[in-house]
Amino acid sequence: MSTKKFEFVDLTTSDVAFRAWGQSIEEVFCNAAEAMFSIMFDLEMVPPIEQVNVEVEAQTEESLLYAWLSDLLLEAEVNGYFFSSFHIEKIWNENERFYCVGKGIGSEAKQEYLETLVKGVTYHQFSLKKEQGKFVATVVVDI
Amino acid sequence: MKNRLEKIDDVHWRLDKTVRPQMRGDAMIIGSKEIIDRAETQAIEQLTNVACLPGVIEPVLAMPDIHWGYGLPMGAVGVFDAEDGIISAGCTGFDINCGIHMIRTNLSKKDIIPKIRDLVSTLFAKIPAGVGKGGKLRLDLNQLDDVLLNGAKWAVERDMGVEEDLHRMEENGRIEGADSSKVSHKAKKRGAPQIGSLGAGNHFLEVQTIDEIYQSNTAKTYGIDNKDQVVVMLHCGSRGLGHQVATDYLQIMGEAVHKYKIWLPDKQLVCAPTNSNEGQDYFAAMKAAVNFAFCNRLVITHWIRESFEQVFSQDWESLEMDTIYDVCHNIAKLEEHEVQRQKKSVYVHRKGATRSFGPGHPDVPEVYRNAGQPVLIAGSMGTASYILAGTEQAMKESFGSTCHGAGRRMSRKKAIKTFWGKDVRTKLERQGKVVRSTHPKILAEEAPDAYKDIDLVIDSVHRAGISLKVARMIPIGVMKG
Repeated sequence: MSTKKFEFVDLTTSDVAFRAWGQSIEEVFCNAAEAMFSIMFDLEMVPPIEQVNVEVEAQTEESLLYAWLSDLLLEAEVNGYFFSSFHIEKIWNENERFYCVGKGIGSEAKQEYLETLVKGVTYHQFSLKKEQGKFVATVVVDI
Repeated sequence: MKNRLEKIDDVHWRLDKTVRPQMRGDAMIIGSKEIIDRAETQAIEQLTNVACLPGVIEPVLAMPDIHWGYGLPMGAVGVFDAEDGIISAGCTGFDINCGIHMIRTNLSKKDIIPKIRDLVSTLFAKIPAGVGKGGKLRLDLNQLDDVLLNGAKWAVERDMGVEEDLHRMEENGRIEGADSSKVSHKAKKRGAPQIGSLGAGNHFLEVQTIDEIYQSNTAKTYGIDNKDQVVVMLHCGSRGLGHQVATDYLQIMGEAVHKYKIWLPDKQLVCAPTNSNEGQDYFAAMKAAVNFAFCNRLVITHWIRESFEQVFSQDWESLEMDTIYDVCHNIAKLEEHEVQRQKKSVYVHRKGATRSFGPGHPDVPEVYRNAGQPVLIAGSMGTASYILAGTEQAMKESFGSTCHGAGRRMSRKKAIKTFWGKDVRTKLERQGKVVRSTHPKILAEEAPDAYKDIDLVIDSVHRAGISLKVARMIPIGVMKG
């Protein structure tokens, strides 16, 4: 069975698109975050020293993924960190809303490692689906 | 979809609303046959998506730098009725008030060539770029609110710019109606340390020389006197603050489309009725981001002037480093345009499109009123850029808009696979251009060959008459974020 976490796809000329997979919703959230940050720098250059908690809520699982990715970008920028690994504590559903508690793990953002800055997560072709027992996220980011 | 384009003349191509049942208005592409041949089908489809939205005023326009983006393609203009139309955070995108600020000098190419390496290094040292904890100015939230309300005026009040700069900026560097209470705390947290920073990606600062003058009278009015004159072009926007305003309101409008039962052909086109709370809140927050960007560009302008002062041991006034103009190319604005022979208030979304108001328009600075508004077009990194003049024709056919740049022809990922940053730098340096960037991959991503030919783009808008060629510039020093 393929263990591919994500791949980049051709869904836009001006920006970058990727697809991420996961056996569970937690895994697809982490793999999508890895894909997004791998656009910005080489993940292997970023040791796991610092961590920032991210807590988001939304109406649907799909919009929860949007909020998770967007808040990771926000936290990386305001703290001056690069994130290279991700951990989801819990994703749950309560009173028709979805919640996620997780963290971005990495170290101080080093200018010389920055390859491309991701400005934001777009809604263009944004989706989170379950296909053949796996979660699949499609994401286009503005760079 | 491309085969349904109907040729009107050599540079106008119409896509009739009958090509798709949901379209409420036509689309129009401005560009030569060569431009049309190279345009991606997906970008043309994106134009038809916008034409399906409520209250759209035809035609949805694409400029010759059109390329496949998200929501509205890059290089496009979507206009909606102010009463029963929509306003869209998705159409405007993340880079709110991305734009160009341009400064003239009285220096000539021969003055600058011996000092260009020193100058580029000085600029790089003085102007923060890339990532990290931000710029040299770290504002508290009260100061930031002041920037969001007052735009570039904030910089002038702190001696980072002069009153005359404000008279030569779109909206005089301060758009009315900004409301900082509509900007989230998250956005403010991102913006507070970022005033006066270039950012990364396609943003850049170039020292250029005038390569050709096409209309000497208009050029003189704009402060361009001679061939080889040195000018400086700055390309950046509202940084993380604008990105977060877009992110926040995409989510708010994502819920608003359900509330107001608006059918979307593409989720990225999330929007709200113009007179709804969600629509007006976005408009007020977007304007705050617009003001942030105006201020950001003027603060950087101040440091550009200081860099020249340091390298040339003269004050900037004696180097005559006056602002030529500051113009937005990513914004939504409430403007008056003639629609079916009647003046009408409309929301104009320019995504990778530049305002191009013609002679006599009251919004054109008084000093330029007879000549038309300066239109500043950045080529791709290391290639030619242009100054054009706005026209009456643009008022008639493109809602006072024209192109914004070269337009990509290769995706960024593909560019990184195709080019090596170091090769790009070597090639540019062989042409006598000094290039500095924070990472070599940024040079690969922005390699000139990843873009369309800027001359072809400009030729199309000139022939269409929506902006006219005034001068062409080539870079000799490039600073990339």
